[in-house]
Amino acid sequence: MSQVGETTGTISFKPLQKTQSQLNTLVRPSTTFFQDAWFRLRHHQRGMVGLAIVALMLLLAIFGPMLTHISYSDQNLSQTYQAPSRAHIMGTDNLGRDIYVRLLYGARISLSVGFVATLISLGIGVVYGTISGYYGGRTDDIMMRLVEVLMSVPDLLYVILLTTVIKPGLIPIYIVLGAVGWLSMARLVRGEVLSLKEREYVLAARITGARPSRILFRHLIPNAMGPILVAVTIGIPSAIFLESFLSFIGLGVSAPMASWGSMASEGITALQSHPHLLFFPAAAISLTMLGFNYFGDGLRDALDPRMRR
Amino acid sequence: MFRYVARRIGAGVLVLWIVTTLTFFLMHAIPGGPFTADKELPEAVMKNINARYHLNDPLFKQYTDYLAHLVRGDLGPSFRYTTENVNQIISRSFPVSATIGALALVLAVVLGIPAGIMAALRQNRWQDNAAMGLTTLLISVPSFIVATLLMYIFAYKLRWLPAALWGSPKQAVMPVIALAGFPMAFIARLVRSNMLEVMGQDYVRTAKAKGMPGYIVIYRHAVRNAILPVVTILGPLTAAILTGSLVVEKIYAIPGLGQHFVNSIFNRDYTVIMGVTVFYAALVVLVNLLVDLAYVVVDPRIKLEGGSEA
Repeated sequence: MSQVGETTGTISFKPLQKTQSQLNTLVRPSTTFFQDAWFRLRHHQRGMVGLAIVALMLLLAIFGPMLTHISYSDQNLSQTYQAPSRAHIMGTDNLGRDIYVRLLYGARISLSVGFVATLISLGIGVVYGTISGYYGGRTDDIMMRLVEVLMSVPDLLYVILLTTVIKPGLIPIYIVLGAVGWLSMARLVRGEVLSLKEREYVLAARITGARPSRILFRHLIPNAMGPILVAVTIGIPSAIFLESFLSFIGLGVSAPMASWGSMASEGITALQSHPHLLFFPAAAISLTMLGFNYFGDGLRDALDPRMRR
Repeated sequence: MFRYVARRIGAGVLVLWIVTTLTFFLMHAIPGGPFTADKELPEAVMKNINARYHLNDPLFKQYTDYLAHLVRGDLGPSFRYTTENVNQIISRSFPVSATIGALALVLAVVLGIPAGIMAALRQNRWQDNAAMGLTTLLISVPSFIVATLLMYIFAYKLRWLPAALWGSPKQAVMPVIALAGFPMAFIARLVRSNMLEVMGQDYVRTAKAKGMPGYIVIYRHAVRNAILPVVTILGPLTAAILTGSLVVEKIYAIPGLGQHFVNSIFNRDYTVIMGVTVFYAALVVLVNLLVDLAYVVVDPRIKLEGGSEA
């Protein structure tokens, strides 16, 4: 209480010395929607923590492997199961491979899966959702019914089914995860388009003779960008999760490639004697997912302050 | 009401038909049959096997046969296990999975709802921040990591609980906790945001204004309305628990359906993969149907208009 009194006591409000004409034009500089959002995001503690984690992970994934002279597949059978030390800051695994280096390469796989899969689902979802929402009526009915049908089965079942059909490898995983992630994206975009297309500026564009594609790409999609961005930041961790899940049960990338999920899965076999084999990849997955989730929360609050609760 | 139920069941059957068809043709698109082994089998043996499993029939006939059996509830034989068919595998292993899943769901509801209510009542104070930070953490950490960490701490370090296998109540503790984490966090966040919305409603203000004690306002007006939507997310939560069970059962070596499913993928046991997929889809469809029906019962504001808008 006393603190509050003190601070208000030291602040003295003085009227601004302005002429009448200046007062009449007194407005704050106008900010764009994204400047506004960035301002709100900057003041969102958890969101910024998330952003920092994501940025750190990205930097490590891109530049980390360049800075090490050993490769993820380099074995050193005289140095297996080393505990973390100065030479290997996270120790070595059953084949004497450096866990830190493998984690860095694993970051490339996990993060690229997250981004590429989400981009694919973004592409499909935006096209599908805008068509469904823009044309409405029967088209919308049929298209959304299909989405509902597909949504009523857990993602992972599709993913597992598809992985049994396709050849193992990184690119098929991008495609499979992209192919299941678009459903919620399509739903979201459709909802946005449905409400945006009734706005006056769309009517104006139509009156001036704009083609549907122009209305879609110049008016509707850019204005739906906020929610889409939020959905992307939520989609990325779920793709990362699915990939690590697949790799963990052995359906993901194959050896000697290192994915966080497959490293965790290898780690569990030595859990009793060498827990660090599991601990580091597990921490990497969790931290990354946490970063994206925090960032997604912050972004949602920043882009849509009404949703803030 | 009857028309609504009939429509929903019709939609559910349609979903199952699409899932079955997709799965069937996916499974048959795989190059190499289920009996392609490293060592080639004698021709006569292959012929017998193909005849036994009707693999020589035209694909479309195999498909209609499968559907015809499915309608009668018969999921066919297993390619891998000659002593058991798919129905027997499911009826043997599903009860185990269902037990763990149901316990996890109960735990999630029992912990998640109070946590959400508390966070909302202490909005932006430390209780809220702690609860929200913790729930985001639980949403972020995959169940297989929770499961392995629990195993490390409680089975290896503290030696309080058996590390794996199934049979005694003690062995259920870790799998249930590992599976409950995500649903619990999900429920807590949902309840919190619902509570905040309800607390801002006019009728809550009215109740406060007429001098009703705070805890009665919270219980009778806020909590009751805020926990209703939890019912609606039981569908997605069932799906999440089911997904989690695939790997949690594998980690703890629990003979449940999830582990069978994963094994059948590695065994390329196509009929089991198909059967379990259809079974899982039916389960999720059924839960969604029950949830929608239950919602009509618990929330009189919902009107049935046979549509899928809700």
